[in-house]
Amino acid sequence: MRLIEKIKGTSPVYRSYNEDLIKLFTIKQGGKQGRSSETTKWEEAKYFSFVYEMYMYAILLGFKNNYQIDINDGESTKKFIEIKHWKPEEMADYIICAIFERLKIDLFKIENYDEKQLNEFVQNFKNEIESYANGGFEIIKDKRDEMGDLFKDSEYRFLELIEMSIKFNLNIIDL
Amino acid sequence: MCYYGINEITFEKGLNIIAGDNGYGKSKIFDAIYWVVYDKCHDVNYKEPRSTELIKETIISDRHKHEAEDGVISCSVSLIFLDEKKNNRYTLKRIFKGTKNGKEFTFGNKSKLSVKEKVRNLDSQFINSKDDIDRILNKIMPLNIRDYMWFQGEAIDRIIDFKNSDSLLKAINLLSDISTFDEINNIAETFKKKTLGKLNQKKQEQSDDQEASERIKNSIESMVEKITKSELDLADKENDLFEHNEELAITIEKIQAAEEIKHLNIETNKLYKSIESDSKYLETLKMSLHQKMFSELWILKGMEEISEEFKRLYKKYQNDRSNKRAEILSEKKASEIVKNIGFAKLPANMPRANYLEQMLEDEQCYVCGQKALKESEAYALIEAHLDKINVSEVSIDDSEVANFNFYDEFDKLFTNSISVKNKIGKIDDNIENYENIVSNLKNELDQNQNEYNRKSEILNSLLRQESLSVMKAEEITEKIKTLNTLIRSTEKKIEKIKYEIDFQNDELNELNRSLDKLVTGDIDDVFLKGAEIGQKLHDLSKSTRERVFAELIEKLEIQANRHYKEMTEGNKAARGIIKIKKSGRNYSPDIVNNSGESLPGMNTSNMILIKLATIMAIISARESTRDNELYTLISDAPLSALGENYSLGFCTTVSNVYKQSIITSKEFYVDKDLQNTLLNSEHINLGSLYEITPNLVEEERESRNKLQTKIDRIK
Repeated sequence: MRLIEKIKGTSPVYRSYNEDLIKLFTIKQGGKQGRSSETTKWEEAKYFSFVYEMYMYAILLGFKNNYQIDINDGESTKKFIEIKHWKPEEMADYIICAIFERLKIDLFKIENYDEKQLNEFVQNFKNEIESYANGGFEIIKDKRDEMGDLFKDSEYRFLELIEMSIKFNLNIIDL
Repeated sequence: MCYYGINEITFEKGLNIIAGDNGYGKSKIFDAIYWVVYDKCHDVNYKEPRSTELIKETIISDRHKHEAEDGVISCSVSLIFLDEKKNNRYTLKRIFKGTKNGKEFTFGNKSKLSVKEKVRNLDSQFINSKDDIDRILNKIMPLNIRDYMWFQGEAIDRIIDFKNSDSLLKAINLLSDISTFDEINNIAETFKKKTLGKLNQKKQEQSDDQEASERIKNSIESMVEKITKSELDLADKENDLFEHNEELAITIEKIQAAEEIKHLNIETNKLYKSIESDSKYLETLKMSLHQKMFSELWILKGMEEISEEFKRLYKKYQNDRSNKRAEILSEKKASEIVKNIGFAKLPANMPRANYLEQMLEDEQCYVCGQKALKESEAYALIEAHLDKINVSEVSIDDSEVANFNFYDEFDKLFTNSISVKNKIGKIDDNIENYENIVSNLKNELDQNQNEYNRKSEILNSLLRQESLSVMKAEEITEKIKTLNTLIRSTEKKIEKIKYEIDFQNDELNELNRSLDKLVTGDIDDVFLKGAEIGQKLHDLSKSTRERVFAELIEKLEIQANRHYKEMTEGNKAARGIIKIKKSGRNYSPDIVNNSGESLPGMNTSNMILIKLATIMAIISARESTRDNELYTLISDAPLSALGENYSLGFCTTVSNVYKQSIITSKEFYVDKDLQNTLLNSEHINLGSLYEITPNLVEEERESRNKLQTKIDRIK
């Protein structure tokens, strides 16, 4: 059995209510018969080419701000592509490192889990990813609501958001 | 229309002004007068007067159409004209009828005009004959002067079109007595031909070779015709040459500006292309930003600590695993050693390899607590133990260490984290580099854009000032070449025609001499004197016509300058004097300096003033008629085409040139100071001033069903 492979085989979810936010900044794949040029993307002010890009961004934003929102049981969620397909792979792997670090887990201890414990661990790991991502989405949403149309007026907006997030205090990010 | 109910306006002697803002109904008063006389109203969509048959119900007030009960509905305008000198009074009434049925309207095609005439102290009577009606209409406003007395402000340009040099000559011919001299000239010409014809006939009769004389006489007639034709050709060509030279002079004047325009155009195009390409590059850079956020890991900026933390986890994991493995190995080895070799000085539970390595490093045995310095026996013993363990063939199964082995995966994660950390270290520089490129590009774009705006503004102002387009400017050099070629070719043609005329005159003289030679006896003096008188009379009428015309032009210039000076008094920008220049056979007004040189760069207001001054000069110079006394100048918004400083000057001139004039104006409504100056002016002979206003505010005027224009007399 391979642990990372198992983790990467999972498909994290996001809360359905974040779908509009994701659509707002992500180019819909398959639209325009794959002819969507970079120019068109830019004109539509879409910052992410794929949902997983925005998802990774949200994880890192949540992670950096130490802001997690757990998804409650029964809450409506949207599933998307498995981690193993996220690109660039080195970023996805780095995120996995980050989660291990944040879980303060003893790696050797994991190797001594039985299969059931291991499966539980993988599930917890996925939940952890999801809670950071949803925390990140919440930060984006707050900032967008606060700035309104101004949010889209700078190409640096998302970069600024992650750069300045160190100052984030659950509600305020000064851009 | 916006006039509802009964509205009455009395126009006095002098200047009468209808003042109102845009859309208040000024033009409709102009239209109403025009409609009565010509059965046409100005149609804004067609920019020309159109007949009642075409415009139909639009002529009737919307309010009336809305409020009238079912049945006949109508509108009418009555005009009363007074000829005070003769005590004559003419009443013209035009009416247009239709029927209303609910929301449906039916209108006839024709309006009806009734005319009443009251001559002196006699009773007034209706005029029924069409000829009599036309006679009266022509009295009110003769057709030949209508265009110059009754015009839309925006049509001034068309009345005297500088580009059409015929237009001033046409106006002079129409409004002066010069046509009488033309008629005299024609009579003299005919007389000359007749007397000459009779002389030649007589010569033929007294010829000793009738046949030859007949042939020569015919040749003479044919030659005279040829000469007349050649002379006309010559005049045409000379006129062409004059026009080409004029055009060349104007074109040459523009060449410097054209060169500058060409240069500026090239520069602005270059800047435009540079802006376009920089903008595209900037967009590409902007677009690449979100790619770089991932491909160059920019969103991991400042997250090196993850790598550090993971390294700590991983090292611990490595240690734990290694220790566990060593522990197992050590246990296995110990039992092997005890079993196979045995060591007296080390316990059975022999330390694991890493402890032995530490002992060697520290030169101390941690089993007995004694020193184990290098090259000592104790040191060698520890080394031997370590060697035994290392060379041991004892194997450990992964499952003995842990349930699972994720070493490869964790190792891969670790290796990746180190590589990512290195990349994160370079992100700041990469972003700074990117931002510098973007910022430099933006600065360059701003600079180019400012330069482009500056140069475009100069270019456009030059184009406006010189009335040129870029294309025309580019064509100007070519045009000069073409004009020069045209001038050379016209000059050659003129030379040729002149040569032909000389030749034809020689031929004619020769023919006359041949005819004279055949004559026998003396020709009766009556014929000789008759031909001589015919020639002299013709010469005299021609020179008289030329003299009268020259005097007329001189008088026109004096009058035009007087009006121009009056009208431009309020504006210091206006300069120069009007000179009516001969252009070939025609004439056109120009503005010159005191030395008679043309002043370039006249603006539109100036041009229109010159035209207005010239029209008024033609009217006021016509001393033998009473046009300015008999007829009323009626103009819709003539001030709209002039600059704001010309309004009072125009009114002064108009009120002095015309006994009665009616103009509509927005200027005297919106500018109350100007209105006050008008009311208090000593120079303006103001007959009346009316203000017209709608009864509804602008927001309520959308539905015209309650709309009505109010007329208030201010003076």
